[in-house]
Amino acid sequence: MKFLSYDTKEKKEFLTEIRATDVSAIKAYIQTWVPDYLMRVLRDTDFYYQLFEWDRILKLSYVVGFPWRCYGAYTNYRLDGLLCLGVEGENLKIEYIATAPWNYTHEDAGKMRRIGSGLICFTIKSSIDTKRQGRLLLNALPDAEGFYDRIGMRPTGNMNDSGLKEYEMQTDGASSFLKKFEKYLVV
Amino acid sequence: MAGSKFFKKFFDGSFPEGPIEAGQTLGLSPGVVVEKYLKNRNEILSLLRIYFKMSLADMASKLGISEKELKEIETSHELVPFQMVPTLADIFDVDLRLLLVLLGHAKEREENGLKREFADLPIAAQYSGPELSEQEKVDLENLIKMILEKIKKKKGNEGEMGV
Repeated sequence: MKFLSYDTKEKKEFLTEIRATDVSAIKAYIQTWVPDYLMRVLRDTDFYYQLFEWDRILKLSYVVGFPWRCYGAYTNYRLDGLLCLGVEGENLKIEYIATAPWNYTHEDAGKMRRIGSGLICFTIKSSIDTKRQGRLLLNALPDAEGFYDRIGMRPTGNMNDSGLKEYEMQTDGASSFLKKFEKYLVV
Repeated sequence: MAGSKFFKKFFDGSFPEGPIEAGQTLGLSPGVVVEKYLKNRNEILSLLRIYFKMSLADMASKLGISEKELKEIETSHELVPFQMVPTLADIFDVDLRLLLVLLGHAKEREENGLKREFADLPIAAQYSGPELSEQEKVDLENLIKMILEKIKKKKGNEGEMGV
């Protein structure tokens, strides 16, 4: 899936592609996300970005395979976002999702916009393609709950072992999201 | 506050933006990230130098040591001399407490929700390195005083700015 992301530093749109990751994503994560995260966290005490252990998640997806699949959002070869999908019951489950640390929206300082929304759009489309009518589940980190509320997801009332609230997207919410995002999609 | 900005944006009609992280667990703490991904803790120094586009010579000069000494420190598995840490924090304008944690001079407190918290000072109580010499103990006292003064000064500035 291709869509137009927006670079807030260069103030222009770029083409971002979401595609299945290969082993090069592990290297990209370690060489770009990790140092960038450390530098940002050192410079700004209010930077609450949560760095997942993506090298392990990616390796697991290559070893375990279906239903765990990982996808990356690439802008000119730069790994701007990561997504790990699984299945839970009848729903597609976002096991992990994150934008790169340099895109993290903190006091409006994120570099690329729409990376997270692009990954959500890709997930909804995958849900539709696999006859799940756009339904999906995820466990949101506290800082991200507001985003999921705003895009039409609702808490199910469940919580996982880490205390993260489960959110669900229903068919109508998925349609509404796709409608809003479709202007950025590139066919 | 960031949340209110996002709320306003949503109702302005633009597409929602904001933190999107979701997963089965919280992320790694900064201390764990260093332990897991860096060859040694002191690699932080090289990262800072490269990130701030500073040459080895420039940084060595600011620290008052030779390039060779700096190179040795960067690649060593020994702790960076703690007297050097506040200077490093000043040079790069980074968080001193976190720098102490990442360089192994202080311990990270257990994660409390999303908020990063660090073990309370005095650092000496958290120090897990080799036994300190008398001179180093004096330096540690000075270091703690410096940190407390910095925090006090920062709080004072924030108060003046009405933060």
